[in-house]
Amino acid sequence: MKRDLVLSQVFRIVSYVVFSIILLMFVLVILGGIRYFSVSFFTEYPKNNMREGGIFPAILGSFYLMVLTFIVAVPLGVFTGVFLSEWENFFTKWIDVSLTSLSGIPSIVYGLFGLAFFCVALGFGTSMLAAALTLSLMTLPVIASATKETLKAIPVELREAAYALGATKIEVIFKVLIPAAKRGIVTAVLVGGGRALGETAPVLLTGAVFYSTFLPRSVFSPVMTLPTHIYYIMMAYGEKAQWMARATAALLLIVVAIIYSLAFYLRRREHGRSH
Amino acid sequence: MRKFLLNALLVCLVAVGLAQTLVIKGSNTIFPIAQLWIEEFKKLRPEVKITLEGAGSSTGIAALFNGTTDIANSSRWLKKEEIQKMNQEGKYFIPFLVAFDGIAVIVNKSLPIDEISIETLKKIYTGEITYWSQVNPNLPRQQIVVYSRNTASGTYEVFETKVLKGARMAPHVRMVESSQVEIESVAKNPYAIAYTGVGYVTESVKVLKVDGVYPTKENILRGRYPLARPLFMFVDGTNGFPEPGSLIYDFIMFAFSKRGQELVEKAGYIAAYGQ
Amino acid sequence: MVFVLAGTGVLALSLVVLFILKEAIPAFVKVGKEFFTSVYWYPTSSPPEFGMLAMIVGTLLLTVTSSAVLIPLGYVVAFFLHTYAKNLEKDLIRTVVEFLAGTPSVIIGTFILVYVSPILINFGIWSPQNFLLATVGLILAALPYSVSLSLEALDSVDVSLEESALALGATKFATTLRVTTRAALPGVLNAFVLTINRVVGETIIVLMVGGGAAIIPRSLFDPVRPLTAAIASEMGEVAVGSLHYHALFAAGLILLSVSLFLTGLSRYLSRRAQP
Repeated sequence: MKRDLVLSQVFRIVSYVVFSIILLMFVLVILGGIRYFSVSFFTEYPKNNMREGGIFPAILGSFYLMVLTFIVAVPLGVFTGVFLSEWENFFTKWIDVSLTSLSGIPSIVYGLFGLAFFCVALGFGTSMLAAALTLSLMTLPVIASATKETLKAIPVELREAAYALGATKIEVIFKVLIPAAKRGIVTAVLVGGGRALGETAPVLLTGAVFYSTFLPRSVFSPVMTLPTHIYYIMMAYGEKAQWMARATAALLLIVVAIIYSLAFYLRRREHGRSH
Repeated sequence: MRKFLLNALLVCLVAVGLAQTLVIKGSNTIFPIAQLWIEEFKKLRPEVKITLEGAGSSTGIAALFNGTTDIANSSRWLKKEEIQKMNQEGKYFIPFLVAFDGIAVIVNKSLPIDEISIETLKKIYTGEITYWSQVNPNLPRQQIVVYSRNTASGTYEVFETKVLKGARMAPHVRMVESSQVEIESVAKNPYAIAYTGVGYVTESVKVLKVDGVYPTKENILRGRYPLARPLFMFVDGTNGFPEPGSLIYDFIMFAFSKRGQELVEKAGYIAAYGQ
Repeated sequence: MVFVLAGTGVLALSLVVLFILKEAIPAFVKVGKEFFTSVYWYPTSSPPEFGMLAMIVGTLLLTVTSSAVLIPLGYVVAFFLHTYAKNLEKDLIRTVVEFLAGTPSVIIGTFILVYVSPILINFGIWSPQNFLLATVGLILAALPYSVSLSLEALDSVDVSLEESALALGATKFATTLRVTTRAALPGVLNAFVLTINRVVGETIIVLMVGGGAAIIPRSLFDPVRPLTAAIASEMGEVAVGSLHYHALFAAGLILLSVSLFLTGLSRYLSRRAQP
């Protein structure tokens, strides 16, 4: 009995220490960067070797990249999830295995693949398109499996009712199930998007550029993104540029935090509803 | 109809994206000069779009082979293998000499040493000598923390040729991505040693005499400093010399101009022309 | 239609494996055993050497030390959350841990460089990027996996099992340890496997704080360069199709194989977890 008490306290302490360290990191990163926020930070280009100016091209670059990634990954992911949930045949097992395998592949290997396939073999070069397609592959398993879970959780009665009314399978899926699963799908998209936003390695190899004087003009242009920008500054620029790295890191963390908060909130509402 | 419009839009986007872009990749040493050139050049030609990368001379030359850059900045001459490859592929790269540089050997300001010989430098970098006290008995008995640029760097290649003279760099030498990082590491670490282009040197580090000579402008130009080297911009001339009026031509001419060469000196390097 | 789109998952995986294999094989043909037997990685010298052993060992050691902390730590926190935490505590800690899961690795790397690395210098450790810091970074990055997956496994055990044990007079601690964990063992092991997978694949953190010297680290403060960091760092300088390029893909192939193996193991374990 005594040992139980002691151990439970030890475990409690350990958990709280972990909790505090994580919290400390968040606080330090955000506070360490927020003080550099200003209007010019968000609207200007970097100047004078990153010692002045702002990160507008990186913000826009990340935004464009996210949009492109979503355009590809969301339909593919949702349809894959639909297929896995509504059909049960020889192919579902293969698709399931593929998705699990894809989700375990290291991000740098995705970068290598993106380089070899999209940049070189398909000839897209160092471009937003190549980076977006690579990121879509990484996000696909997340969206697909979450869609599948959400759809599976929809009560059987809803489907039966729809069929009873004479709807075809396609109609049931698109007009009944997906709208019902909307919240879960959006959550998955947010989580996948949050992860894609923060990815550095694959973008470094397929789409990113150190320093650009202009905004990406087409999908074939290279792009500056928030995480690659942080990486470049930390690795290649000096003390005087550190402020920009810290500020960008704070911004990135805040954006990711907002995305995840939204996702958690939606997930809570979803769980509340089905219980 | 909608599909046609969409395609047309895509074509327009691509076309716009390909208009008037200059891509410059390569040397990290030349990077600060190139940034100054680009900022100034943009004032003269605001409609021009330029991207710059400074991951290392080898990346620039590799990009020139891959056709993914217009100009390759290089702080070293072409390697034998590259010349062979040029012959094999029937290519010709035009070398433009744009500046002179000396590779400075730097240590922390608190280290009581003022000069070093090439022999000793070689021994430190090949791992024959690992403690400062082996360099000079008056120095502390501390392990030398040895920094170097990574293998993509032209600075690395020149150092390997002139100092190591073919010997292998010891595996424990830390490879970093940029000269700026080397400066900062040395500034903070009393037992570090590193080498960088002289333009990167700041008040925060101490420059050593190499074989009794400081890397001053005079010494570099007169060839007295053993680690002096020219800095180049390479352009693919296989299909002809860049046309006067073309973007590449104009940019190179700007680099050669009085203002361009002033910027070389502003960056801390030595102008090639107008001395 | 849905089926075709869903099939992209399988297509994607096949393409990834195919292309990585395709680009790696020329290296295995030309270099072969040397990859695994030599510690000398000099891809840019003449003649080049491609010994990946130091990097493979680096990856291995990093994985082992990080996992040695991660796995017990994750289990302990999950244990606490499952057994003792009140609902509010559980929610709070879980949320913070899940936010950590979404934190981009570049931010973790930046945090360590900016806040943790200087602490080492104050203690007289003159190697500000080293094995220890890389391990810390990996622990931060993979901890959410370890905690969440272990917790899920423990939570998924039938409550009645636990209630019966408690009814028989067992302490909470003993119940969770002996009964729940045993019942959830495949799931818990699965959590370990997936955590290891995450650690092996991490690139950016080790690139930023590992120190960039491809040696077999002999002390916690030695620099380390695992396979992932080498690929990310050198990919920029290789000409497509060169031996160096293929060698880096070979490193990618090693990583890919490891991750696919771990994923396979994980699938086997999760099948065992579901009766």
